Amino acid sequence: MERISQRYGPFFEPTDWLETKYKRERPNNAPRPLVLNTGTIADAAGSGYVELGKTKVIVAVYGPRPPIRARAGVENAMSGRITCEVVKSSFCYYSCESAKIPSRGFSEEERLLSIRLIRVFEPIVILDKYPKNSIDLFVVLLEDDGSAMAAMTLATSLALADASIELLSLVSSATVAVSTKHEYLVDPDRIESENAVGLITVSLPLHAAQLCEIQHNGKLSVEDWLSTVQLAVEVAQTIGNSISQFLLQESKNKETYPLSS
Amino acid sequence: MQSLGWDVWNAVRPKEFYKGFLQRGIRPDGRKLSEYRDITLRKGSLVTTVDGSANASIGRTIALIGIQPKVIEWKEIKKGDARTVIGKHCSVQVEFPSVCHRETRSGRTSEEALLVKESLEYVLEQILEENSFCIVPEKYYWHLQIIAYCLSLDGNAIETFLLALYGALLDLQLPVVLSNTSGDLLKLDQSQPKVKLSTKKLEEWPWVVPVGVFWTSPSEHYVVLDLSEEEEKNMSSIIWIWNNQKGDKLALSKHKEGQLSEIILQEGLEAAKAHIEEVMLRFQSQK
Repeated sequence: MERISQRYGPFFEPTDWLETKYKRERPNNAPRPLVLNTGTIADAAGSGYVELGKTKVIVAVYGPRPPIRARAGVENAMSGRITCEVVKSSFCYYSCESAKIPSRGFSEEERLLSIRLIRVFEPIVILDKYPKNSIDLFVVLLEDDGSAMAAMTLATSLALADASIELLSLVSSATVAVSTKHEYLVDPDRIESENAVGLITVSLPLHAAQLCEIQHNGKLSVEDWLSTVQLAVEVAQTIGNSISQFLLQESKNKETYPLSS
Repeated sequence: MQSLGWDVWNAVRPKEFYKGFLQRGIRPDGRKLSEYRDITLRKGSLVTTVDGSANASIGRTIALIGIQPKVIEWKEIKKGDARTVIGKHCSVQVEFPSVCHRETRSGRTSEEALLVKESLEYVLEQILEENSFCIVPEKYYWHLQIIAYCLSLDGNAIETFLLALYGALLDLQLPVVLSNTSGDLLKLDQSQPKVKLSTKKLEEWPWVVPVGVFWTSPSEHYVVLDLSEEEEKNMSSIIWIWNNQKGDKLALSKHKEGQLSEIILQEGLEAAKAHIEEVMLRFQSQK
């Protein structure tokens, strides 16, 4: 219901800014309901689908396969490579004016997201086991309602596990926003993220005592930063436990498929 | 002598492998020749940014369509040289992102996407009524922005997209819009419930059935419905048969180089008719 005029076009009378009446319905430290699924894409080696509230991401992993765009020197490489392409679907853009034109290749934002995702997973995937091969990640961000990067990381972990690619550990991720009233909001949605003073996304491998990536937007004091990161790590740990349970269940349910299709 | 596993046969001589199954009236995944995979349709899956959406899947082919109505001015419509309902009131974008299949490359619109887009535009032309788009006559009109993504490709994309389109159109709800006294600006009337777009009746909605024809010898052929990815490669020719439930509008288009004969067309038409009847009944019962 927010920004109605922008949704349908510019010819509307100005209405009240409904977002000031926005209220968060769940407690501050509760993440949104999580939906996980694997194996939805037929042709991919592995695929993962994650819904964090209304944010929806689907990731497909193709590989290990010979690299499509062979750069010079890649034939002699003794370790594999990860490539990533993120597509933000037109459904992520709320205002009709900023809708995406699909024929212009990748926008800057999409390229930034792909680089970040590669940065998260490069230390995690055991690339030495796949020499001269490339593992291709393709991500489609279907709907963006806040914490898109966290959802993408979770979905990629699921997809890589589904594709049986060797990983050092599963990666889980969580976002925490610090609002203007100095509250710590876990797993913020779009309105909360846009009005936050600072936003931190943390990517955490489940079996290591280190973080693989922290992404920080906005201004935070040092104490705030430390407490936000700690909170995010705890939330990521709980989400990570649900992911590993889900994958265990999936592997028990998997029967060997007949060779026909 | 040890017999080779059947995956080896499939890799080395796929057509022989496939023929062996067809001769027994069955396909490698266990379906009969005119049996469809599981068809599911979920309406209203994207709620934050679009007003009408649907997610359809046939087997493991998945298509997602979102329809967002926008308001445009009369002069924009007059400016464009499109005279059809489609050109004036809808814009369709179809994308096959790299996710769906290992051979799709990003950045280039695939042939399949263009075919699907053309078919969807053809269908919209048949379904939509021109006078349902007017808000203020000669001033403001509705414009539907239809965006379609294929999330997974396992053959028979066109039917999946059509299913998703119909689901999204049935799910679409336009808000009631009033103009203020001077007629320049618009206002959303949130007290009234949203209305559905008025379209032609369901029995006039066209449907397409891709029919595959497999020639084994000049006198022997098999007609197969709902082809999966592998099967599409084996077919000698694929015909798209368009029809509606009433049965009064018919169109055909042929893909791939194989031959056709009247007998094949008859068989294909009958199989398609039966399937269309089934699909339309399911739609009507849902509505």
